[in-house]
Amino acid sequence: MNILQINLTIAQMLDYTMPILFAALCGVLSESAGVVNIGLDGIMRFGAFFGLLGAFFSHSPWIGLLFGIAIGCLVGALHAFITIRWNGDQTVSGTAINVIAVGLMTYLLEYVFSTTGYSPQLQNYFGAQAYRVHLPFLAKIPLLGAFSNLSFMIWFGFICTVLMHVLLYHTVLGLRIRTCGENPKAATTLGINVFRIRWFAVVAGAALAGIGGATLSISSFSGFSDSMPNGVGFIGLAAMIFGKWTPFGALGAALLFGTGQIVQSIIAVTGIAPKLAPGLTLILPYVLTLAVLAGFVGKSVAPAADGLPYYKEQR
Amino acid sequence: MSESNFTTKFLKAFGIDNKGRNRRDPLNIWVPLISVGLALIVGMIVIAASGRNPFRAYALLFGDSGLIPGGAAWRREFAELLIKSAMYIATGLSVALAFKGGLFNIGAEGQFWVGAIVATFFGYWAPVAHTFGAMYVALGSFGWIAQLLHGAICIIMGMLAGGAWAAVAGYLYVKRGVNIVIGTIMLNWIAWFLITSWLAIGPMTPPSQTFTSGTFYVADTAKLLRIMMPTRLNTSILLVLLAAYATWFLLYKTTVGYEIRAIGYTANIGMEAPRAQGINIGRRILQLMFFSGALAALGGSFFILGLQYQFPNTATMGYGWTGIGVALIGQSEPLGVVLAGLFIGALRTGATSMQIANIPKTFSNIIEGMAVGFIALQVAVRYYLVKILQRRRTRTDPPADQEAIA
Repeated sequence: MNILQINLTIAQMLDYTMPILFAALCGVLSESAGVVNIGLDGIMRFGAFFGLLGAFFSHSPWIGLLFGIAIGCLVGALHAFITIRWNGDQTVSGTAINVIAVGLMTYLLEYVFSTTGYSPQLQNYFGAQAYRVHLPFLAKIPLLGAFSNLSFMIWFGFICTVLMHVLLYHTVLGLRIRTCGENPKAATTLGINVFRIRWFAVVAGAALAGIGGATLSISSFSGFSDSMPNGVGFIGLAAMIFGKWTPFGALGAALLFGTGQIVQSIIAVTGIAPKLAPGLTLILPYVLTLAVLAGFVGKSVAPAADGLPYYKEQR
Repeated sequence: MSESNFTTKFLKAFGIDNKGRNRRDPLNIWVPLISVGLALIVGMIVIAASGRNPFRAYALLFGDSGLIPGGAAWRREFAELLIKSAMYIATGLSVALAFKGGLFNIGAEGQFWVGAIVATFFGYWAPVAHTFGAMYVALGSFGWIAQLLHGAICIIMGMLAGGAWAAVAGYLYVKRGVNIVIGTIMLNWIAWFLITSWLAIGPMTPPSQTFTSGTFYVADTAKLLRIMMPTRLNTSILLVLLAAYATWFLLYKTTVGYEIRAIGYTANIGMEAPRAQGINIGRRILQLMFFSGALAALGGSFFILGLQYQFPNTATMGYGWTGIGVALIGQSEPLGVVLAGLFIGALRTGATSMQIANIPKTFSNIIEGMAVGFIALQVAVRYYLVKILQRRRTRTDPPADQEAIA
């Protein structure tokens, strides 16, 4: 492998990483406030289809990104309405979103494009040369050269991670969000409106998942396929846990899982290790996550009030 | 009081009154019915919004679902309905049983596939297959005994494996404090990738063929008997009804079931009452997860022994996720799960015909998902239901009656 190939591989790895990262960040934000969102795989599917829809009809990936954000907010609002307004079961609501996403996106794909399986391919997407972020001064430096010609969404992912860290750990709002996730009763005592904070966290988080879905269809790939997101949302869930419910942890885990994916595809393409079945590398994220949760490797602990509906009157 | 009288009669007709939570709240039976009804209405709106005729679409959906007798293809559709329902009822029972113990077994999907792959293995594995093949020949006209035994071994092995797979999540929960939802989700994907990206394309495939062929086919003796000959209908529906009865018996007629329900009722408030009573909670939860996984795996073995006869490379996820919907619509009662499973099976059967009206067959997912969503919203559904009932009552009856519904 020469330096160019290594750079290309790193760039490809980042393409795999970003959807996982956005899903994980969605989980971090929403679970920090105490609302479990296992529907993020479904929200990503919504985001992937609507992102493509926007980009396809406007010929601009920016509109696609806006569509992804909008549909993410909308589905997130549905989840918030069920789980916060009416104290519905968060897991059941998430399951409903996942199942609806499977049926509705296939329906819409057939309705809008009259095709099954794949949408038409995009010419203008974030992965196209015209939309990449060019940093020519990096190109000559080994390893950093990989960052000289990346999709906008990859940089956006890094920016979102930093912003999320600042939001959660260096602002008043972040402190309030984490209080709602750890001890909503105490938050109420301090005059914080738990419902409003949770609404914000869930909707903003879902917007991130929508962006993650759009990243799949208008950045990593140039179209929507019916199998999207192919479990990426659940890998994101795993990354969130593996990263111990923190933004930078999520970034690290997403990078690790992204590397796993690229290693797997290198093995598949080059045939370096034909005896190694793809299944054995594909399960890696989930095995690592279980190991961390079980405390075999470090220990990952969820926010104390994670997944519990909040009743104001209850003692 | 006419509404609640009718409800009581309705409940009594199905033999599920005066048990557990139903006695306290007669609205329980209306929540899933209203949820499904609302989901069907939303489905109609979706079809109408995309410029198609919802009435024609639903006529196709229910006309070809196998629910309505008559028509040339009815026998075939009815058979398909029962074949599909058997698998959904199995995964539904799995999720429902775990719900009764206060656990959300979202991993019925993984347990389903573990059951399927293990049943496949014992279906074709030479030592087993040859033994029963020879037995079949030797027994002559009593060959059905060999078929019965071989099928039973495949199913039992599948159930043991699925149960063990679920028990891993139970163990991690009890001993290591891993949230059961997260644990089972992770195990789902581990099972799925191990099976579809390793076992079913490597060690279990015929060596001479390409990886697109799926695994070996099971021996003839392992296949489930067909019971309505021109159609594919097999014994799976009878077996799953037996499993539903067994689940009901376990829950309501045995000590273990009583203890499981005691754990489930108090799951949100620390389980102090069952602990004080001396119930070994950790042990019961492990057993519960084992039973739950075994039921899902039963569905997986139907998928192989009754339908595919091999582990196909075209297998797609969804049986376990549907099982969650079935359990929720069935309100986690075995009888409810059977009815809900039949309904979902009917939707899936009829949805294939909707393709005539340009509606993809995944349309049934929309209905299922919406129904589950409305069940998640059940607090709201109950709230408005009580409000409507109250308004009707204040118009007809003196207001003293209001307390009864609140």
